[in-house]
Amino acid sequence: MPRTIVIDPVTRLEGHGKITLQLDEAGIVQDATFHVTQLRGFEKFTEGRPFYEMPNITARICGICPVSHLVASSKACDAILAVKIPPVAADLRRILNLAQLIQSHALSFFYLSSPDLLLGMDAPAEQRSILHVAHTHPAIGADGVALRKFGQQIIEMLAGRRIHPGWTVPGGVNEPLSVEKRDQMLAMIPAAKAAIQRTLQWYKGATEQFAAEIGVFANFPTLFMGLVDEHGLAEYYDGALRIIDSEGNIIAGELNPAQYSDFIGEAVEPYTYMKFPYYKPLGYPGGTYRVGPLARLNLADHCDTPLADGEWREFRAMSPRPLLSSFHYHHARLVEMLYATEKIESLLADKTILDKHVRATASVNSLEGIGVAEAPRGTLIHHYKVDENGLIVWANLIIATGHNNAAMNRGILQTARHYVQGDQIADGMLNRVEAVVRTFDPCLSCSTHAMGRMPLSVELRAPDGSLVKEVRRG
Amino acid sequence: MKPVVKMNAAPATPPPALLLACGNSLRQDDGVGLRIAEAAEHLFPASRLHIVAAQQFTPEMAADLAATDLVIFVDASAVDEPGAIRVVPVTPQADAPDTHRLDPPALLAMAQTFCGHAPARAFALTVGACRFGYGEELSGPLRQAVPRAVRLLRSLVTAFSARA
Repeated sequence: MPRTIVIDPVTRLEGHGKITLQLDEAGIVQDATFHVTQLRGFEKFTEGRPFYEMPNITARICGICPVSHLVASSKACDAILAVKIPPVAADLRRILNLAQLIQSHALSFFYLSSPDLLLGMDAPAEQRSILHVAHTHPAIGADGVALRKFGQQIIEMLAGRRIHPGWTVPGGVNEPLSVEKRDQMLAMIPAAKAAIQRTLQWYKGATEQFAAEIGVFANFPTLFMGLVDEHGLAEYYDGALRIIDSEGNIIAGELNPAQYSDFIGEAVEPYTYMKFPYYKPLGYPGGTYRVGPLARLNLADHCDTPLADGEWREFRAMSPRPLLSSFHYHHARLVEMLYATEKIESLLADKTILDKHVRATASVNSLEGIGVAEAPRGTLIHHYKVDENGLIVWANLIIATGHNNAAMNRGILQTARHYVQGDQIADGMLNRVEAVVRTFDPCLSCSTHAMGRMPLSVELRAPDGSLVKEVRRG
Repeated sequence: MKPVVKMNAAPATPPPALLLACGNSLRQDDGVGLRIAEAAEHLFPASRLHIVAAQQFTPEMAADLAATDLVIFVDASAVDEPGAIRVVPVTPQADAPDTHRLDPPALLAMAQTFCGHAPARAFALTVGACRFGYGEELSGPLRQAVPRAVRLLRSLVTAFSARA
């Protein structure tokens, strides 16, 4: 008798999600769907608001990465003003965005995924938390705490507060950087680099035990998309979009991000509020692509900081073609944290970072604005249309998690087929199905985040809806 | 290898007392901790009271705790009468309950484990709250409670930071 397994909610994600696994009569997984059961609605309720409010309003989408929305939204507003912002303002936003990447990656890697990596996928559920890591691996946990604090402190020093800072504004930023703050930030860099390098050393020596997971955690060909600069270097604030295939061929590039709608379509499925972006020329779902750390390291020609470039070369040397397993998102996050730390250091070391002219002012000069930047989880697009008074008449936001939606669904199916065996619902099996989603570090709603474990229930249901079996924790 | 959390450059001189407030300013009374933190900004110079306000308590705050000998956690309470202020001592609890977020006992334990130091004196100051809907306004009893809570906070910092 065909049955359905439901994992609801999925734990250690940003927001709430639910997984449904459809089994056939032999207990083999036939289909898998990842439901996002919350409606965000920002595109609709921002209609009628002044465009200059958008950075602060859309930053409320997420309590983890408000900076990413601030940056993309501010860039869209720059386009409405039709101004070129002062170069120092762009660099200050770059630093803010990279600090955001560090703190978000630290949260994902250390707080959410390190319990799986350090304690094992089959460890009891009550042990798989950062609190338990504090006791079993205190040095690694301490590095995680320090790195997240490092990123947050830079955000706080630049923008005034850690969560929902309002320093980034249309036309630039609202305050220049002081010598004292610059020196404080620079003083933190060496310890941050050392912590990331320690973690990389540990991680690279530990992945052998996860060969099975690497083999089935969303390990399949897709396209990859991300920003690069004019030299093909990884770029997080500006640049052009590049799309490569699973063999590493550049099939589209370098694309003007402002023309995203020419090459990105958005499909809709009835079981989730999250859309399914795809590369238009290949259609849906053939045009499925991935974004974020794995994509960025796969498609860049190299990194422009020395330590990260060495790690990038080692990362890419694992395969002659792009790395396809989403398990490698973890590794890519560490490389990106090192890159971000080095890049922040080089930006701060340039004396022009102290320039006082940090904002261009203008009124509405364009009725449409598009802002694109790389958020920790991938490419983030803000697109606004305004009337002549600057009031929003239409908005579209494509967040990184949305880009990865189709790949996440396929990844869940691949992993579930490998680990789910009919009635045998072991907790370690469930965690692997969740863990493949966690590799993408999806951010599903979200204005707060769940640290640790949320209640989890798994249901087997017959086609008539009757409950065949249930496993619950929490 | 002994874990040591560094990278704690701000503030340059670690303050002797820490106010750690949490809440959601868009959820009516849930934001009372943040209001108290705002009101406390002018009580003492930054060199004497370091204030951290956030939506919730998170693990990296262990590093803030490790830099002080006196911490006061400030939050709304959903179980006390609206406006009722309660101050209770907090001790580290290594085996923290499995919750969606970190609570003060677990945070203190993490400071001890990760950073090798937890403040000798820790208190939780809570204000009973009743309205958690959408909105930035506190309900009447909580508006009245904020100045009382700030006075209490001043007393705690004055009394215990000198003894810490």
